[in-house]
Amino acid sequence: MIVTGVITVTLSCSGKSTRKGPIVSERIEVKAVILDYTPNAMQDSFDHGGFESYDASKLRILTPEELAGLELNIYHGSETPREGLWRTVGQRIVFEIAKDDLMGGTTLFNGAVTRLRADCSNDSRGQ
Amino acid sequence: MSGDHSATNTLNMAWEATASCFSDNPIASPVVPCPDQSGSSGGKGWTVAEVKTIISKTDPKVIEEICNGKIKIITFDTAYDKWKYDDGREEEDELKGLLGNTIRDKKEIRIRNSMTSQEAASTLFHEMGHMTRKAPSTQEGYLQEEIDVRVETEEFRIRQGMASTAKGYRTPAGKVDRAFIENQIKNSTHYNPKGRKRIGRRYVGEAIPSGWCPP
Repeated sequence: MIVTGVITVTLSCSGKSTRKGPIVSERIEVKAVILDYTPNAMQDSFDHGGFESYDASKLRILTPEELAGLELNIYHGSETPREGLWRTVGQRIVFEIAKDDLMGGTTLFNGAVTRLRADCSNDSRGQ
Repeated sequence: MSGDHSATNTLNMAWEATASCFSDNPIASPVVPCPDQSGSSGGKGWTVAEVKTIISKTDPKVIEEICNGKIKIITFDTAYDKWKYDDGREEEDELKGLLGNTIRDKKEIRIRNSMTSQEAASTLFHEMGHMTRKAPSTQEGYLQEEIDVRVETEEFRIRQGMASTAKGYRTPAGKVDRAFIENQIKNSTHYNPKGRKRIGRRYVGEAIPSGWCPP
């Protein structure tokens, strides 16, 4: 188990919300396989004409055991490398993520993930 | 522009139709969507019955596509994006201006509660324009889709007798000004955040109102 992080959050009229004080965030190591990569998978429409699009990597979690089989999307708010891990279907990956982010029912973006790397513990391709 | 990267596009323009009554609700735990038997979007702005009536008046096919495609229409009060800064700080920003959102593979469309029924109908029409298209694989395709959907939405608003979405969207003769919309979208500013990364998004006040489709 890896424990890191300080969250500051308060609510203000400016639209920024900040929670003050240290909040312990349990980070867990996750092994997963990339099932799909979809450009422009999610789109936002804002007032005043703003719009945004996000690519998505669909994953299936392999470990930890209690989360094995869970499928989830990780959205990308910025460019991902064309030959990168996030885009490679069948690629096994390892990363760390806050358990609260993973389990909290939130829409996850790639900023939630740290220490992303290929899973070299065995054959890293295929599932 | 090249490649198939994502980007935020911001337009500075006079916006005639604005959503109002945005919530400053305190932070709450994420709400799990649950079926709402009342057909209300949450009791703040629009209702399913009114939006369905508005759209069906000119474009009943859109309602059929929602039902036949089993599209899940989710309403929300507001949303927050959580960001991690380079110094380790984490903050949430409320997305006060988020009107609608489409996730194609999950067949989910989100519509903000606080709009009028007319504006909710227009936003839903727009999001269905995205939903019913194949996801574009390139940045150029994505911008072209946004142009096409905006043109179709403006045509919908003309059929409905609604005001123009924004200044310049119609010619003096009252037709859609595609050239203006194309120019606007293709020259929109791309936002690539520096010094922070987006971690996640949570929606507040989510519900799945019923009443779109026959039992």
